[in-house]
Amino acid sequence: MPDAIWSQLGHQWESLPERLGGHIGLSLASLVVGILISIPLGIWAAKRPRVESAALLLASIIQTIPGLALLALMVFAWGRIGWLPAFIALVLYSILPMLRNTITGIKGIDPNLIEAARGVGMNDRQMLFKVQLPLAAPTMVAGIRTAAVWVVARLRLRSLWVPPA
Amino acid sequence: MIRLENVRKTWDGGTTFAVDGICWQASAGTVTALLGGSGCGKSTTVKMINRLIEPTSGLIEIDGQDIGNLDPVQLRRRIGYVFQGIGLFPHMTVFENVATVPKLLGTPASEYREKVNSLLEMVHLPTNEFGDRLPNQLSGGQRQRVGFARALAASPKIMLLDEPFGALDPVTRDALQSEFRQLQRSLQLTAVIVTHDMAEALLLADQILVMQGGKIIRSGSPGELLNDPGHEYVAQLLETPRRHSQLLRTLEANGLSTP
Repeated sequence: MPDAIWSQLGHQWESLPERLGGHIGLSLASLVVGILISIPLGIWAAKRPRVESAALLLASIIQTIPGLALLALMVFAWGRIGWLPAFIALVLYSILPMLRNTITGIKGIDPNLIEAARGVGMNDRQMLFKVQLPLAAPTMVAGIRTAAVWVVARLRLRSLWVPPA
Repeated sequence: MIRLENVRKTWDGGTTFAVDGICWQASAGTVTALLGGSGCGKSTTVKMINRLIEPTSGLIEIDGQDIGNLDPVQLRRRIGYVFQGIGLFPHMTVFENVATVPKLLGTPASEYREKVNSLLEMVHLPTNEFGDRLPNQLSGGQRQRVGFARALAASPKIMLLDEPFGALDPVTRDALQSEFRQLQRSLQLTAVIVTHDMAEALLLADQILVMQGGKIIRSGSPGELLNDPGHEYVAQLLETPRRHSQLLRTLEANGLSTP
């Protein structure tokens, strides 16, 4: 019996580097894709109250779905287990904090600065890159950090669905 | 030259008009004051000149050009804009703030550096001492001085000022008012200044337009208004600075007579 445990442990130990790499890769990939979705969406939604409330509502609803249930949903939706359902579930989970913080960061900018930016003759693009994004950046980065923690915390989902190598 | 012809603005589809048929002309190199209480339409009027607000109807011309046909972004770069909120970009230094418009216009750094230095010199905030500071390291008066320098950086011929001295203490306000007048004269700027302070209008403007309910109810030079208010509301507005100066004179006389 102890021998069986030790041999099993050795076996697991051998697969650690590969598993670790997979975990880091998956969390990074979901975070990057999450950023690519939520930050442009947040910038776009910040000026449109209806889009904003709809997007935040949807992201919040996704957040309330238990991890296992969402994963099961994804598996049914894609008809397979493994990397992809977990990836999509993690991307969906990462969206809320980044979306919310992007919107908060942009809407929180002093209206005087927006008036000044328009008054000196910045177009929408210049205003976004020279004023809005630099000033919203600290809030947005805080959102990315929260999302990173959430993604890593929910990574265990994947292990339930991937049989040991 | 700025010319407004029958300019109107409604926010509610025509039920009420914030600006209701303004006709007025400002010749080059003069200062016009738009004077009135809150909600009289004076800020709305001035913001229609750089198209921060679009008029509902009417014509606005600058040097004979209908500004409705111009690109608003290009138009604003030609017009200096200073307002009560100042709006210095907090993540940029004083120098970078003043350099904003030349940078937007694509002026090479070698050219605008000198311009920014001379402007900062002009508003008594020399680059070597203040250029690298951030706005939150300045006093209110210094910030608005930077605001003026930023507005002047692209050498505009026209300046719009929306209660520019409103948030300043009286001593600073007084200093900035006379500095502004000097700048305006030396650069031959055509300036439109929005204020609710009759004393400020009398001291700074060549022409005063008194507004009420979106209409101009009286216009004229400071002298003309003082001689003949022509309207009860204008008389009321003139009453305050008059009473203050009388009060001061009386106090001074009494003070001098008592040992």
